[in-house]
Amino acid sequence: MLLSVKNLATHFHAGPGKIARAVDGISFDLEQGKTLALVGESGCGKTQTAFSIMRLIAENGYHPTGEIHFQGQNLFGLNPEEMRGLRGNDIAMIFQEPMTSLNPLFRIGDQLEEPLRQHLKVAKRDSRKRALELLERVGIPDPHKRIDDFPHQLSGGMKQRVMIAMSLACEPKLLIADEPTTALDVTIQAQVLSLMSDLQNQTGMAILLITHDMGIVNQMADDLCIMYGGRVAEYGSREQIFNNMTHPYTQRLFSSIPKLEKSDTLLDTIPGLVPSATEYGEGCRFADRCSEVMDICHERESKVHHITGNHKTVCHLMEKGSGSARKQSRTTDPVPVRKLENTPLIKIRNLKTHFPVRKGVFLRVVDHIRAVDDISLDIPKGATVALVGESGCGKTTLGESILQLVPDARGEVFFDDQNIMNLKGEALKQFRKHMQIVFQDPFGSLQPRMTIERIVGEGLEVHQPLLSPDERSQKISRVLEEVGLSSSILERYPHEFSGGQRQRIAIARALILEPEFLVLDEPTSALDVSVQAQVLNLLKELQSRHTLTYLFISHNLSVVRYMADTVAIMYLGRIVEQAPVEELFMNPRHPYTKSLLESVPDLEIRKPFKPLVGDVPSPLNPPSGCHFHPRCPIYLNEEQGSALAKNCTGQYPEKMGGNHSFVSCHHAAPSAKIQE
Amino acid sequence: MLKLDKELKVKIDVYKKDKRAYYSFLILAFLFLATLPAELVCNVRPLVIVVGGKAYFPIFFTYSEKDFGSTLPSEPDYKSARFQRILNGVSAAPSTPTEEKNSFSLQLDDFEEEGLKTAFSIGLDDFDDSEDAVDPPAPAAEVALSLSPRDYWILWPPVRYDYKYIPTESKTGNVVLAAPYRTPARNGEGFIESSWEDGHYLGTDDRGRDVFARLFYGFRISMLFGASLAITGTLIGCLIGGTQGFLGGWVDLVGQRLTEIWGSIPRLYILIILSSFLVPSALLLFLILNLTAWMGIAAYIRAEFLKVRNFEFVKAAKGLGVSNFTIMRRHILPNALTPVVTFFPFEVTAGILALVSLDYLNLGVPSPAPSMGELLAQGKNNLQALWILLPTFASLTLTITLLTFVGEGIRNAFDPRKTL
Repeated sequence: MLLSVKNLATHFHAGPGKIARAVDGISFDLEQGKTLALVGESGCGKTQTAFSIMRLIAENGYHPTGEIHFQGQNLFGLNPEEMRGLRGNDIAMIFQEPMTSLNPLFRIGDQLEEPLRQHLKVAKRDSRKRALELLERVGIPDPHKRIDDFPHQLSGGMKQRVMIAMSLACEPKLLIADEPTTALDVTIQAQVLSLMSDLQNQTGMAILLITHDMGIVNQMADDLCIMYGGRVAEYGSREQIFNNMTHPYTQRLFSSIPKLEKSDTLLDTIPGLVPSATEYGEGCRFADRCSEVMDICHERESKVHHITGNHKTVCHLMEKGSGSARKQSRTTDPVPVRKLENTPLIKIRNLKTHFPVRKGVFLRVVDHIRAVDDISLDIPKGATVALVGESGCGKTTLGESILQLVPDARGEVFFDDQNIMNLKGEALKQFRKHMQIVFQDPFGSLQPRMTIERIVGEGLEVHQPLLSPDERSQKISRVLEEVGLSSSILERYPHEFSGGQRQRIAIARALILEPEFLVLDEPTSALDVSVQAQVLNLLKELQSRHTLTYLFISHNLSVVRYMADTVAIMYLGRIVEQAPVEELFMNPRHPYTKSLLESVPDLEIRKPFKPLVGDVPSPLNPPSGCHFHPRCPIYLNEEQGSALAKNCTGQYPEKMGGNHSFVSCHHAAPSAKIQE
Repeated sequence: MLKLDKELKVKIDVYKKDKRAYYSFLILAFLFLATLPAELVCNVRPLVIVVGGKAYFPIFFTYSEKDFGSTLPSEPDYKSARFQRILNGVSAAPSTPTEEKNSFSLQLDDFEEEGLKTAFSIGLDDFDDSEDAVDPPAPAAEVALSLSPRDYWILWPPVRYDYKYIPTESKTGNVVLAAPYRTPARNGEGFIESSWEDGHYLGTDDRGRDVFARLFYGFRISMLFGASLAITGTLIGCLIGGTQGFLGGWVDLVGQRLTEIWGSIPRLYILIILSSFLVPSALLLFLILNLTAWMGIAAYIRAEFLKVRNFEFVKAAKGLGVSNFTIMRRHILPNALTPVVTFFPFEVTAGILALVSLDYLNLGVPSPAPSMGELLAQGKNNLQALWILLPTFASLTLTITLLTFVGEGIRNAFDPRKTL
């Protein structure tokens, strides 16, 4: 056994008399060459488990119980010097945020060579050679050029590759990957994940993978450890757990994920929140959120039930016999009905947002970043149109341009046949109450120094200043109730709320003016899956109740599948394919759409990743012809100089198809024509 | 801001835990509050005089000698022997020697020029020597004109001098540069007693003014000056930096270049030019220092505004149609205040030091005003007079050190990594 964790507890002193029991008695084993996934919502102690293994917990932390054996050595028995010899050498770690885990002041070559010289005592000349090898191995193009780059010159996916290269420098026996792809696009995620499993096959290292994404778990893991409230809820191999989920938490976690198939029911949600680590009571920690809760659950924690082989679960339901435990509890609430109209609420015609690039003392405009490049789009009343694409493709800019939040937008945007691009000053201010926006980051979108009442009520102050204080607070309470919050929170501040609650507050702020059109800019991508399901269901309910029209911006295709009526795929400022949601998912025509769909880790079958090559090019200098051709699998397979290849590099493909379903691709064009 | 929000409370708790910063703040606050009513602590006028059952409050109201039964319409010198005699019912009018003295004391009050000083101080010395010989006959001559003696009762402040009073009489016979300890007389015969005899607890400066009173008033004006300079500097800085940061683009560019040009003009240079054709006063000095005091804080505020204006809650407010000014005031400013709060004590320090150095160079507030810088200059010119240099140096160092400790404490409390 390479790594064996026994009854590990990691507690923190969190203020006077308060102890946060972040990790509270967990055990697991990890064999050489295998991958163990630690799965759970945020706040369940996954990351602290990893830090405990590295012995890098914060100063106020301590271990009341527990042993960690690595290659038969008790890690808690080592002195700091010996531990330092292990870190980066035998145990390496990659972090969630590639943007901040590389030192911006050093060239990546220097950062790569550091562990080599530190642990392997490699000489300077050899270490550079080895660094080049490593960069090549993790698939960085032109390693000779890249090795002298600074981190800011690399894209997010490249940085994460460099991080992986760094952690691989000393050929570690154990790699701890803490949400390695959460900050990356699906296409890049597929690249990084396939790189990790390739490297594992080559070197035989073990991977401790921390994630909340069940799709990644399905793709990568051999064993699973479902954590809840600092404890193990269920433990077993991938097949054992995926075929036979015994713990209600595992079941609910799994069923709250939007699937790529069509579904007529609302998403299953886990009510409530993960309890704070300072407030664990007696009994099962999941009891308050569990649908199968029994009296005994609140009294004491269940013993560990062994099912088959290694498969263990900690749940009282097992005492009642395995049959009742296996009962899948799914909501069957249907998706609320909506009135779909064909008249467009929003008509976008030739919208262009070109940000000027200024240089020199006098800020001369030398070039333009074509963030949104000649987009036309209809958004029918009461419908949801989804914008999908990798980061940097201009989705957010398009959303903000429609709302007149970007001064550089040009073109025409009709709202109920009124061109709102021409509105200025007071008229625009008055018009803003018809359209609102909900942002991605629930922590950045609420002013931290204002009370909830003032945040939600601010729109009323602007647009209905004559409202009496009574009427105003009544309206605020009503809208808060509508998003599922109690009106007792009026006097509180945003930092007292969790991400999901904050997102509800942000939705309330957008709804208080009773708008007809909402831009939802990745409203759930910062949330846990269970909370994401709550917010998505809420958005669906609100839409049917108020006949809202949504522009739903997302990079998560399963979420889009659940929410959208029409999907528009964006690449480098242009829509490359647009189709009704069924049609797009069943029959993707553009190679980019196909690649996106293939990059999503599947929940059912394990499939080999076919990742897209390369990153999104800079919109400052898009590739000639079809913007996608340098990454397009069809173009790359095509012979140089063929008619299609010439077309792809020569001219941008025209839209093929009608107004509501079209594709821009030289290759897909003939088939699109046939369908017409 | 009636309600302290939680975050601020935590910060105050963190600050209180920092013992050094907390006690520094308490000491500084005590010193400042103690020196605020300096007129009641160091003054040549008594707090209360009760003459024949009638109460007078000379600090708050100005009385003339007539009010006390004499003949002159001018304000009496309450510390003089002449005033004693008036109260005792002995008229001060006709006697020649006292007349002479009286005219002296009047001159004294007006007296400011450097040149006359030395000549005058010799005169005083001479006069002190002859006092014993002259004084006794005078009352004898006045007895004839005397009024009936009255009951009187005087309550003096703890220190019977203010910052500009130059005494006319001395028990030790030494008015100018009197040491607070026994010193050998200048002519080598005998000793001059400590100035404690006259109530000068820290001696007198080279014009005979009480050093303690000048320090006391000087500390007050330094603190007030430093604090108000920091306040106005911060306000102007917020306005300029905020506008630049929020609007960005051309406004920011032009503003930055102008700021750089403005900042490269030496402050002292502007001061020397301006003081050559404007009459220097504390207010003028304050205005001039304000021309540059905002620059540091403006740079920080600008950077914060540039950062915060891209936050999503600002976009959300724009999406709601909130006006630019309201966004700046309500959404951005509260989130950009950390550098302001953190730098405030250091700005006060900078203000105090600016005033002290200008006073030291004789470019500061004009002469009779109490000032630490002027005391430092005197100490430098009279190195033998340690009682001027050492207390001034000590109180200046103490003030600056305490302010720095307070500033460090605030900075640590606002350090986001130290949230409890």
